[in-house]
Amino acid sequence: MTRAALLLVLCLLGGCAPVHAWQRSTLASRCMSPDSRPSESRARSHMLGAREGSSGASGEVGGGCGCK
Amino acid sequence: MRLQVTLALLFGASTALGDSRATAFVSAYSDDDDLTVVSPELSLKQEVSDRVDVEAAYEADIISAASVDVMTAASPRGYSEVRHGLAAGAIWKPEREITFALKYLPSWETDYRSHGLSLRTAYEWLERRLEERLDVRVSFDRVGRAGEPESEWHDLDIVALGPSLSYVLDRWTVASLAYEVQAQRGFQQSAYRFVPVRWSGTTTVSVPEEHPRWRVRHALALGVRHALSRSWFLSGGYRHYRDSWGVTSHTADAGIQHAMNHERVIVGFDARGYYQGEASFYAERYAATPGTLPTYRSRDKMLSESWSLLAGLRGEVGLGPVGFAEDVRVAVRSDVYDQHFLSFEPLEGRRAFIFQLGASAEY
Repeated sequence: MTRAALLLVLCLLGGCAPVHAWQRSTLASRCMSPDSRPSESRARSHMLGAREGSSGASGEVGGGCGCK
Repeated sequence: MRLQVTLALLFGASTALGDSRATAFVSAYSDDDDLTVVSPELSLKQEVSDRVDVEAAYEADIISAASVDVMTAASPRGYSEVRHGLAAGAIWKPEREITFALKYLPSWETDYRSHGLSLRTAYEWLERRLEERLDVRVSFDRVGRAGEPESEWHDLDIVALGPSLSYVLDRWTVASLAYEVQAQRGFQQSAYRFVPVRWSGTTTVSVPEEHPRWRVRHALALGVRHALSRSWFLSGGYRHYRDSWGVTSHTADAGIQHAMNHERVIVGFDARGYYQGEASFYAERYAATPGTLPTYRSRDKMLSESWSLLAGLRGEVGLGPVGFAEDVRVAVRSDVYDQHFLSFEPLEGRRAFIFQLGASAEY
């Protein structure tokens, strides 16, 4: 049921037309992947997590960095 | 077997080991509040079978500070310290569409110990058009003062649950939706900070900070990545945060990237704006009836009303085959971070410069 509702929302957002494998070359670009530079993302998240009061719920584990 | 090795250039050093992937990275932060942090990172990843990878990492924060937090502590003086962190884990893909990743993440410094565990499950369906993820994290931490015996330190336990979705809207666009709830229980104030409380017209007492023992945090983030063409890419996102201490925040970010020569060169610019309201028990100045204290009191500027801007340029160059590597990539990034505190008297704001350097190679 939940998945059906989710699917409906996604169809409304983007349509249900298939995106075939041969149409995904642009999607495979490094520029389209949020995970292509994990060290850069992690360092940024860690830096902001030590300086802003709401950054804790952003995927960072542990901490204790005194650099506040 | 195709091997990937990622190298980083840290002052010219690089590492590559046989059938492994190695990553190294360095980030340097320096602000006008006399705080400098240099953070090197080194990680190794080994493919042990078609379905299993193992990985390990080391990171550090080398901190040198004489910031306003230090000066408002009980014994104001500058300090230097090093935070060390390790990570060890495994990634298992029992099917093409299913991934499990488990990591153990200990870290330590002179006044903090952390033992974290994270589990990520990812499942792709709708012909890999939709990816569901669930991240579960727990962390058992100990907090104290440098030089104190650890038996006098305090506990801080953290549990987080984060479901997220990533969906291919069309051949040019990917959207994502992520939610995270995090519960923290234990010692959440600084062991060093003291709060001035005014008892009468002329009497002010300085007492240790006191925060609630529980904090439940919620964050909801929406993101979209869109290819304008095969070489121009846009990204944007919004994140809303709210917690049981009354802190709310809004974060918006946007970026643009340009890929040239079959992604041999990528340049980009991105910017982020952030605003947060103050915690319900936070006050710039505290006053109380003589002989009493506010139940909760804080001198933490991270709980005050603030806003910030972060903007940066990045560049990435593929150098092609170098030595035994099939392809080497070098990346550099530079950011400016401007933060303003609207209800924190000792410091109006700070400006920081952040520099990151790395390189990668594939084998």
